[in-house]
Amino acid sequence: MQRSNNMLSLAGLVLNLRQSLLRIESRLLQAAGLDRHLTPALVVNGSHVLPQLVPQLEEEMPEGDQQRADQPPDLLDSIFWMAAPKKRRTIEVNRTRRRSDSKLLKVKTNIEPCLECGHLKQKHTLCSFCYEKVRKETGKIRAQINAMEGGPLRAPATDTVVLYEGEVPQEQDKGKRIVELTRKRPAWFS
Amino acid sequence: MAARFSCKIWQHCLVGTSVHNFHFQVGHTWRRTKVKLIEYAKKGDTDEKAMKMASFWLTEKDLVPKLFKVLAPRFETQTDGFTRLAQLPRRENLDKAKMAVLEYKGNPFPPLYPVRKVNELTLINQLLKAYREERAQQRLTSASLVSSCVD
Repeated sequence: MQRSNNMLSLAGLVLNLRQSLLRIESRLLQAAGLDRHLTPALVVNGSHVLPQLVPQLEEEMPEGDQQRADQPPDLLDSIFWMAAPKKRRTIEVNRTRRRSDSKLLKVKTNIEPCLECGHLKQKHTLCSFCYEKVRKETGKIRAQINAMEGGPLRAPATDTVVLYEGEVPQEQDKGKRIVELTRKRPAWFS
Repeated sequence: MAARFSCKIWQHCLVGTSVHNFHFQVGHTWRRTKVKLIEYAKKGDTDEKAMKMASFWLTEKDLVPKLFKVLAPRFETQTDGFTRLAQLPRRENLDKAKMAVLEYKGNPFPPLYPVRKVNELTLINQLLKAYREERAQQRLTSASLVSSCVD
């Protein structure tokens, strides 16, 4: 019995010795830095670029395992390096940005009154009021043409001339299709 | 070009006038097409290429004889300047699109640009005329005075 106890204690002692020796060996290797060849050379994770910012002495080995398993870097690690405002923007700064010259409305210098009707128009465009008159009149003429033709795809291969009430076709209107409107000629339509 | 298939727009085009364009740039493209059509039509009815072009671009076939018989002779003497592209104010809709009007010159419809008439018989014109005559007379009398002094 004693002998078995002795034997067990001896085995335990040997085991303990062996374990302690292994531990010492691994510690020495770590200190020397010779066990690094096991970890991959190019391993980049946000958390490992600047180790002095966050103490990760105990986390290194399990993190190394993670990288070897080729998992993507966590958001929780990389949010430490995202851009964020440092200080509140003061109302003065905000005002100067919001009211800067590029953001204000531009003054238009190309507005002038139409010589015919007096409404305002831009220099390079037609007057909207005058054009509206032209458009309405053209619509009426087209309606009359449609009524004369009677249907689609019946346009004759001749010129047209528009005559209002009481107008007689002139010499230059010979051979043209005459479109008669039962209205007075508008003053602006020469 | 998409315009070839928007036949309604070409109908307006050839009936003689105005097209409401969606965008000013589109107006420029259509203007070039219209000008090209006229140039082809000038070659004559019998020219195969011209007839092919006309029948392709004009989806309404009753306008093909109109192109050759009406529009080509109208612009016989001109080398360019068959069309008029005028810019309109932006559309009233939410999109505020740039609009333009395109027309062939010599159409029977009312003119886009107002024809300015100068009436000699208005009061202001009569007064101005009288003023001009008076000034001319004054210059003559002062000139004669100066010459008499010198003499």
